[in-house]
Amino acid sequence: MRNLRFAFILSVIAMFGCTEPKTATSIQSGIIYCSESSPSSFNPQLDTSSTTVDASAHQLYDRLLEIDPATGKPIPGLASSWRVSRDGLTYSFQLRPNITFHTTDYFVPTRTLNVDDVIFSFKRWTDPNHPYHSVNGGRYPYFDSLNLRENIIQIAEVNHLRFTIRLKQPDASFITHLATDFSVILSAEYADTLLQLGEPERIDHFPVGTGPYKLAYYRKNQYIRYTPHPLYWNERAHDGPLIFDITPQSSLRLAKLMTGECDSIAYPSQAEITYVEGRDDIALEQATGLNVGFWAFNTSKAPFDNALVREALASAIDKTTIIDAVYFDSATRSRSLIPPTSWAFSVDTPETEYNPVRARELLAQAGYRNGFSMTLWALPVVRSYNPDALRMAELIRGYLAEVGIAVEIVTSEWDSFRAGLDRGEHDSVLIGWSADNGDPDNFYRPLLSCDGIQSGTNRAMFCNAQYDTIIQQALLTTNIEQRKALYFQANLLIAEQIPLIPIAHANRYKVFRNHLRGVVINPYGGMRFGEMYKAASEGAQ
Amino acid sequence: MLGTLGRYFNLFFITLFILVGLSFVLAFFFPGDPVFNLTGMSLEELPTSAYTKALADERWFVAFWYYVQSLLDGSWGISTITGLDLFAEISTLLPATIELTAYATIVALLVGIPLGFWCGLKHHRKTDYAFMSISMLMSSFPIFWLSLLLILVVSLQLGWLPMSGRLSLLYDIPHYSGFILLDIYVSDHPYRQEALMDALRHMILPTLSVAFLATAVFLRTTRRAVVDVLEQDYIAAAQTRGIPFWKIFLRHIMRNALLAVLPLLAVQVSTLVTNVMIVETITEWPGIGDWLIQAIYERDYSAIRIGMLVVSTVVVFVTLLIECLSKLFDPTQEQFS
Amino acid sequence: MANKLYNDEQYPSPWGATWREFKQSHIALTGFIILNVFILLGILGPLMTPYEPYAQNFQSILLSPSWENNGTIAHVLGTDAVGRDMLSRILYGIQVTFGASVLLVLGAMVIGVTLGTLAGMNKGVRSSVLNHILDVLMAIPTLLIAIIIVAILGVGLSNAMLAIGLALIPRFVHATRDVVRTEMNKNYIATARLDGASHWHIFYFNILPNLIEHIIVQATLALSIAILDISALGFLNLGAQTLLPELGVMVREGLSTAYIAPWNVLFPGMCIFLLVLSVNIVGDSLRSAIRNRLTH
Repeated sequence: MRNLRFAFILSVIAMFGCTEPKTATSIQSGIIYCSESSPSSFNPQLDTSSTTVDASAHQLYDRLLEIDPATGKPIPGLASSWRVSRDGLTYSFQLRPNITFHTTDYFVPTRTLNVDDVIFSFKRWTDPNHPYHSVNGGRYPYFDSLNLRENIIQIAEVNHLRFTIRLKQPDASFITHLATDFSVILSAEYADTLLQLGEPERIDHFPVGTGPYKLAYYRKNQYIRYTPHPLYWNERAHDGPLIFDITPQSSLRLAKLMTGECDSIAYPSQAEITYVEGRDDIALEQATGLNVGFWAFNTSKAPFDNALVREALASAIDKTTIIDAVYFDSATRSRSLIPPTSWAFSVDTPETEYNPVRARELLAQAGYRNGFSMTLWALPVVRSYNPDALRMAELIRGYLAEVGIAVEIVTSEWDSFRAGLDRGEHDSVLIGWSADNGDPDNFYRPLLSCDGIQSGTNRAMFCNAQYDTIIQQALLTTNIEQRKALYFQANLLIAEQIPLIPIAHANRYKVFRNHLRGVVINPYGGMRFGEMYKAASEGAQ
Repeated sequence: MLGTLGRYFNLFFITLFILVGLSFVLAFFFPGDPVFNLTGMSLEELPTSAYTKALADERWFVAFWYYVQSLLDGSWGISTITGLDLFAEISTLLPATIELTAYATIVALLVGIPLGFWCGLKHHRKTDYAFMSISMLMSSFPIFWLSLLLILVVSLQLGWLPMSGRLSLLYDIPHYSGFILLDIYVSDHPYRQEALMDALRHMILPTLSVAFLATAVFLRTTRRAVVDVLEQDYIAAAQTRGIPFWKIFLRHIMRNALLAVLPLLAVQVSTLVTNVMIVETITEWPGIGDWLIQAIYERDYSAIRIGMLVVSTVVVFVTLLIECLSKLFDPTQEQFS
Repeated sequence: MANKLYNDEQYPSPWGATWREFKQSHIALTGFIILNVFILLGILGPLMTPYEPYAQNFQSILLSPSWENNGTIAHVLGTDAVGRDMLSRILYGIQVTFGASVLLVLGAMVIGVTLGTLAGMNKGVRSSVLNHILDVLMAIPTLLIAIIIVAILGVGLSNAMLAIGLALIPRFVHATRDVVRTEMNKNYIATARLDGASHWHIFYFNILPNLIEHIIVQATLALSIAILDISALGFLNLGAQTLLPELGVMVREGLSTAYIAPWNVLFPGMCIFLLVLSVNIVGDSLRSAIRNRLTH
């Protein structure tokens, strides 16, 4: 272990010491992005948090398919074409030839992309006996929460650039899963090399992919430096370095944007957006987000296992005031899990009204006439679905105090916060979900299905057989009207059980200096820097 | 002279030993497993060695002995949060802190001491009152507020200077000594010139923030010392003898005032370091202060232990060095009691 | 008994003389008045606040101070990001920051003076190298001590006070020890001793009157350090916690909206600045007054 750490350190030092020769244009065209937190690894298979996704998915890797941000439809990625069999059970893919992996200080590839790499990338999460399955945790939250593993029977090589995937039962959303940020293609050759060296865990921290950038240096809580991948198969808009300046404080990010120390920043707060609108050196893009911010109750714990208590809590808070105070006018009030832009949305979903008197009655009915005390975990980082969880928590504390419930607000560093949630230590939590693809299943399944508990996405710890059945049925058909009816049933069940209170769907914003071009808000996933470049007029700061 | 040197040498080593002992004991006071706090790893993760064995058997005195050895070897353990080697970490961080402290001190000395002399010589006149009032105002600023004000005005309103870090991240300067100007100078980076300018621009705000307060203190200290010297009988005696004032100044006033200032500067080292640490966190200067404060936010006890040891050792060393120098230059001072 | 002898009408008490010197300086008097205003605000402030310091009002978020265009007279100094009234919070903040500083200085003073007197009156203790080593250890920066205390005991205003108090004790020990030592060597002590006065008697009647002035000067110095450190620790989130309206904490909270509502950073910081300035002026003037009294 000690030796391993030492090797790790040496390689970090080696990486730091190595610089590539640069031309005059490259340093000027470098992009600095002020990100909000440190990624836990450089593999989005292992972590659905947008921090990890932004730092890896579209920068270091490619997927078989991509989603067109404009239409939401899948388009070719590493796979140049694909076909689905008539019974909806067999998918066949053709890979592009001559796609090169990154050459880095820690790995030199000897071959281009082939089916082995795809099979490795899939087997890692589908096959529990795969040597890499349990490396770095062995949890694949996105795939686990959807239980995709169960549905894939076989991945078979046809020739070195062609393969097929067989499913157990039809899945209307399967193709979108392959295009999400998490379905990245890793290098099988690199994995084998690491296995021989006895250091498989390096695969997620010293990544090798096919994406527009490769990792040059990462210093936790400080910055990530990427250099361009010179043999990138697709177009990349600029040839300078890409830097993530990790700046957890939102106000500091804005300040750095104003002084030109960042070209773009993550998660500007609403007040900051209003401020930025008045400046002519900073540009703003916005779009409706595929996300939901909610207040989830730990339904595995007393007294939150009692639906009466949950209803009481739901009627004790005034959602309208909370939304006004936290999101200002940059969000839509939620009725259910999915935003109004989704085809599965229905306006008829019932909602619990704000009624403190009723809340007290319900509490009395449940046997808590004198109230109780509870913890409220507030998301410690800014997320698009909740720009200020602490403020929201303080408001909720105020409302609950009026019905005799004492609230202790809990918040801690992001990694330990999530670890605590995974262990189910919370009574309730203010958190949310940004969808990874446009399919409603991507909201309903991870957030409230029984499988979501294991994968750490179901923070309500809610497990209801009836709900799971409805969600399952909705996948078996491709008929939109049928699916919509099923999701409406799920909405009714959520409104009755209240495992969580959906609060708002926030708009998504991108704020950047106006010399940065090619900024596109991708509602279906993380940042893509390969498409951005700086206009020539303004140089590096 | 050798005696003084020897005594200070001894004093430094005894203090150092106490600090090392303290850092060892702290591992037991910090929450969690002492072994984890000492090494950043649990017993199972540690490689087998005599040290590990002593830790496992809870033979703490023996373990302390090995702990001292491991400190001397440069194996300081790893951070419990980032897993990075603490020795490597600190050898990149400490130079940055020393750099900032040194620049700020130099600026403060260059401004504060001459002004202090001037005020002292003109004491109880208008210029003296003006400077004394200004320095009183300056020394009342909370450092964090001052630093924020400078950033708000100079960086954000006027847009003249960058507000964070010590070099734009676009420049990838290889680590050589940890002192950024030197590192840029010896590197063969194609943008050396630009990088150097960029580093200087980054340096101005943090240096000024720290120097602002230090200047006020140096000015007041020097002025007081000069006034005290002027009131001495030998100055009056020299004046009655008709010796020109500049001669008295060079021969008596300057020397004696400076000697009186020196030990007072030693007292300022700890304030200076506190200020540097705060400014580092505000301006994201990649030094040991910012690192230590991050470590406490993340409860990285292994890092706090070693960071505390290193910073206090440096502070004690500098304090003793200044005291020792002032004793060496000024034999009239009361000897080591 | 001994001081009765000098307590004649022609000779004002040391205090009287010092005060006479002190009030000759306008700056000193101004500082003294401002400091008294702060003391008054610290005690009575919470009674005069127009709003509760914790009362959030989402109808009035980030209002500008009243003299600006979009400010209202209802919130004279504006409001913060959750609509809390700045003036009320500052009034409470003075109580918290100033009150905590005064308390911790008093604590450090009592301990420091006791230790210093013991060290000064007992010759055995003072010569040891141990003494010097302790001095050296006390050169460790306050922030470092605070970090260690926070690591052991956790964050909180009382822990921050403990850390700063610990760092301040040696100042009082030094000052007391030096004065006591000088006085002990004087002839009148020897005389008193020959008269058969006890240690306690000597301390109370001979040394204490001489000591008090020095201690008060030390205390003003320590107070300005304590205010700066308490607020710095609050600002760094190592001292008072978010809910407490401590001035340093308020600066930190104001930071998140510093570019939109700079007054949220300006006013609490300005308040700390004025507080420290008035303490510094009083301390400095007191020192000059004592010096002048002694030289006259």
